[in-house]
Amino acid sequence: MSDDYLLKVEDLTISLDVDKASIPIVEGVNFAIKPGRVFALVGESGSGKTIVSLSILRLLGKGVRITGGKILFKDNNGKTVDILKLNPKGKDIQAIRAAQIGMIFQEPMSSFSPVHTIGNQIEEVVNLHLDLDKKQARQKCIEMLGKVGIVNPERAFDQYPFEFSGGMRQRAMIARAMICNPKLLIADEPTTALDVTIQAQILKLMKNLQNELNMANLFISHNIGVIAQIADDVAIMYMGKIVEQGPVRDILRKPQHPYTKGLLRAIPHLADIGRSRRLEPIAGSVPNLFERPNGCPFAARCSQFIENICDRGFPEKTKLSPDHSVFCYAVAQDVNGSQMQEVVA
Amino acid sequence: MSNLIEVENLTVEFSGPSKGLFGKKGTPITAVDDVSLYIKKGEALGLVGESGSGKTTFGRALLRLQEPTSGQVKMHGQSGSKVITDLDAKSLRKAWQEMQMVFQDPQSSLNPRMTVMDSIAESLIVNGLAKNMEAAKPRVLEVAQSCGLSVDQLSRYPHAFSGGQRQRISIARALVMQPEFIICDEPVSALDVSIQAQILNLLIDQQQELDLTLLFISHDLIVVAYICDRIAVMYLGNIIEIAPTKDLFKLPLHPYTEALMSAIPSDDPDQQLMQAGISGEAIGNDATRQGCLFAPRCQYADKDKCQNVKPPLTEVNNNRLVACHYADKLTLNGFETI
Repeated sequence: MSDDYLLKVEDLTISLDVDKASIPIVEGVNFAIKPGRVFALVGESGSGKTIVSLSILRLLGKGVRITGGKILFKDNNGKTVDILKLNPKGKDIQAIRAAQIGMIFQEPMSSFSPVHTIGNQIEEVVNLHLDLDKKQARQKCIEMLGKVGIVNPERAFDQYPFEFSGGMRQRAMIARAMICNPKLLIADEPTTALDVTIQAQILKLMKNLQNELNMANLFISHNIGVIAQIADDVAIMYMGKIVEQGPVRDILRKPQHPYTKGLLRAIPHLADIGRSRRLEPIAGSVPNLFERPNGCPFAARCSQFIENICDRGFPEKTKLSPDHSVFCYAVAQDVNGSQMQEVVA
Repeated sequence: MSNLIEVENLTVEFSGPSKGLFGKKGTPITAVDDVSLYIKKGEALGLVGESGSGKTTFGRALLRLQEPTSGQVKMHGQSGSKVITDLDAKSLRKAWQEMQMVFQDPQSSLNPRMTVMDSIAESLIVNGLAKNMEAAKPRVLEVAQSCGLSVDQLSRYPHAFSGGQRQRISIARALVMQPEFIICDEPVSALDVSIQAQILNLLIDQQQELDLTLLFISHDLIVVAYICDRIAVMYLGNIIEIAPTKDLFKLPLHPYTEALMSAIPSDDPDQQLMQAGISGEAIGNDATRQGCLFAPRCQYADKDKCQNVKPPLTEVNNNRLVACHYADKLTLNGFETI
């Protein structure tokens, strides 16, 4: 990938401390988000996608330790900062949080304080980062609430979260995350708790705002349909590792990693309704974190498992095109095999 | 095929929020509003709708886990016909042997202090179908195996299982009574996609093998479409459309069904999101509401009839049931390619 990035994650490794042991939950993750693009992290629960996103804002809880890697961010002054070198409670990271990198969480109810008004909580962000007087701040908040599609934003400003429906709360959360016009927005499953009709409204809103403000977006989801609609680039995570990444069309139309293929086959497709009632599940289940296999983490469930190869360490990156890469021994063998043939021919 | 379940004018009301601490109770909220439908023997009927539409309450009311305010539920099982809503506590318990439920969250629906074996065997023993654990064991093993659980797993406790396996346990627990009718309330929405497919396949296999009748409640239209022969769409406690799966997807007749379908995000990145999307959100249903409940969000609604007269669920062109004044005049978009 070229140097034209906004955020670059290099060899990020995060461990969870349990009793005396330390279990890796994210291992050697590499990706870069370009300005104005939507980068999606896809994976099942426990794959580490939320942990990665929280580490970018240094919001990891107790017992979760970043043990290696870099997170490079090009800040508003054009300087490149390694976020991992900042003090998680210091001023530097606070200047980045919300002002330059905004975040939307999955559960809109639990991420608002129930005892403060919506307006109060959005204003807090403004007061911290922007130099506006009280009246101006209120005006800016109301403007933003209107922008995210809340009817009667002046009234909404003085309402409490419990008076909002799930969809409205999620809109308010988007307003709070975007009020300082961040360069990067992290959205962790922003539509999972919502109904489909509301989900469609929120996705459309996010897409419009993103185009309008030319903001980059780290989007986390397990819903392939949502990913298809919103993402430009996709990384598939499995047990704390990225197993395949590339442009959304390549990943969804020409998946190479057996896990990506399996995942896409396992979801019910509209086109198959009435044709077949059976789905093609991925056999087995995700191994326990304590039983992390030595080799490729997907080996135990993989249909293309190669003995004495797949169980011996994580595969190297195989590049299929400048942007599309996959970590799989079977794919590597195929690609190398055909290259050898080309050489012979 | 004859009907196994017949529901007539089923209504469930909850008392509304009271005004002030000691004030009068507010107008009751209608969670299920005068619903009538039937489920044929061996059929899988899907019930879809947004959260708060009353689908779970409807399912619970069928089993009287939630007492209905009015209406009737009849079951024409192998042991003869009975009116579930008229049964006393003792006969209701007996009727439950024939109708079972699988809940959404396998974490909270299994007793953490009982082994899997005990959990599955409990209903056999309680209902007197087996005298003790020893007698229940062969049947439990049989069912557990058919649900993909191995014998050595049965002595463990629920916490030792993953979400998918817990849902297998819940299904085994429902099947052990050899019921004729099972209500599945969002059985896969708490599961990851790769596991979701395993559980859906298990349900499909068991349904065909045992000739089960299913009521499959979900908010996910595509999942329902995979499993079910017919789909009923619920909006604020009312069934607004009911049709065979393929017909419904090809040509929805109610504007809300159309909106639900258009909101499904396509897995093709080049296909644009939402052509006929709806704005706004559902507003609660109580006795004061007039006219079509969907009218405030409906792009086709007029200012007169739709606002004042509630459309009944009526039959329009060939056996399609829909509750919309303009069902025969509107041309709505579905998925023609299906």
